[in-house]
Amino acid sequence: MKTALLALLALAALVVNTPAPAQLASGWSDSGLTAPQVTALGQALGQRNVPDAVQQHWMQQVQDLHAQGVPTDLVGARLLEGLAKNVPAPLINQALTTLSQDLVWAQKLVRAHRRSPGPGGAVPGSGQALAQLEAALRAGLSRADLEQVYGTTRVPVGRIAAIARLAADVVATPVAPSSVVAPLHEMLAQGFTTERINAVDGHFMAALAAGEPGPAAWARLLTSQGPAERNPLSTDLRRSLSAPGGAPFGGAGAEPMGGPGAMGRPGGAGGMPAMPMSPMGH
Amino acid sequence: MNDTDDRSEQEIAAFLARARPLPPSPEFVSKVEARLRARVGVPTRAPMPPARPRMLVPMALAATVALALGVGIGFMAAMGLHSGRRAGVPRAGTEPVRFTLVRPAARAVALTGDFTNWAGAIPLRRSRQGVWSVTVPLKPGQYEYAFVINGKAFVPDPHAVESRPDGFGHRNAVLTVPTI
Repeated sequence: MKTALLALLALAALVVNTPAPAQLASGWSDSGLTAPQVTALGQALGQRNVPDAVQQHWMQQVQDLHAQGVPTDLVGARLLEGLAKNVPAPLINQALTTLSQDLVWAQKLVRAHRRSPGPGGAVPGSGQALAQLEAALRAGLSRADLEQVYGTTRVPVGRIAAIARLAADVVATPVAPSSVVAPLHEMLAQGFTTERINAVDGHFMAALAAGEPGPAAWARLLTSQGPAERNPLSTDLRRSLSAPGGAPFGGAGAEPMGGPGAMGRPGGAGGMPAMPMSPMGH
Repeated sequence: MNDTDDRSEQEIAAFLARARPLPPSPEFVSKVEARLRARVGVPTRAPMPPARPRMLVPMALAATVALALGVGIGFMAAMGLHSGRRAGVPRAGTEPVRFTLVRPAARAVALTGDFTNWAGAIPLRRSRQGVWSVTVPLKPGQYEYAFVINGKAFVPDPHAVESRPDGFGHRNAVLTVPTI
């Protein structure tokens, strides 16, 4: 209630400095949104009679993200969703702030797993990874959970996206995040490819579609034996998860990260690695 | 947002099936029969024997509801009307996905989500049984979506295998279209 009131006051304060409509139109175009989004936003904002000052505030948030190299189409989509659902402006404001912070965090995570940053720190294909990481946060995982999943070894951006999607799918069913972190970390440590992670996800979703509750389907996936077509998790992975002390750190396909931008240091054997120098903050 | 109507119908049917029928008074039975005759022009017939009609009204209602639900569920299973189900022959790069919602009382139902940029709504068509449906070609990927009832209420698909918070205090249904 207090936060909502403060947000309302902040929005009201913006009314003092109202930009011209033409300025607003060009501002959305320059903020990295897709052309259909810009058109749809113009219509939706007009239909809702959103004050220019509020529009200016939202646009500034999008432009700030764009300047940091964060794909802003996700923010545009969330804004359009809020407007379509007739969500009050202060709530949209809160949602956009949370989304912006989550995307900035996700981008840092993806960049930390990059061998060498591209021009301007851009990571090709990172849009999907950012979207899936944000979805995983909304589904119920914390940033700390996800940082533990990815650990301190480099993970290709495609695998980051695939694991985040699997994490979101499993936790949404709902499976406790504590039951998800170690198995997902171990999949990466054992060098599971994107295709194989997607196969695990497909297997899990098929079980849900067949009517199996999420926690039961996840538990069965982690413990049942059988050929790969019946259970895409390897015997090694199931054995390591059931071993005393939990999943060991490192393994096939794992490459320790180091140098500037490293997310931590490789942990010792046994249990989850500590994350002593995560740059992402919470 | 109200997504409990379908479940409520099933709960009512289950309750009626379980319920021990209360014997209605002969006066009540006579009144009901008289009204039915007046409404639907049922031919007048001789008064029923006193023992059986007491069971007739609640049992008939339960049986009708159970039969209707059974036929409906069987029909949906046969026709593949699970919401978000992939249906038909896929077009190049896309796969047709059938969305359905059982909402007999709705005046209009539309579909919106990531695939419309949350800016447009795809109208669903109503069958005579009150099942709303539409088939949408979608590329492989994961989508969040919701139904819009009567142009106002946003309802997550009650048959979706997954849903997640939408960031505004409600939930969206999640659909995964696998790579073809």
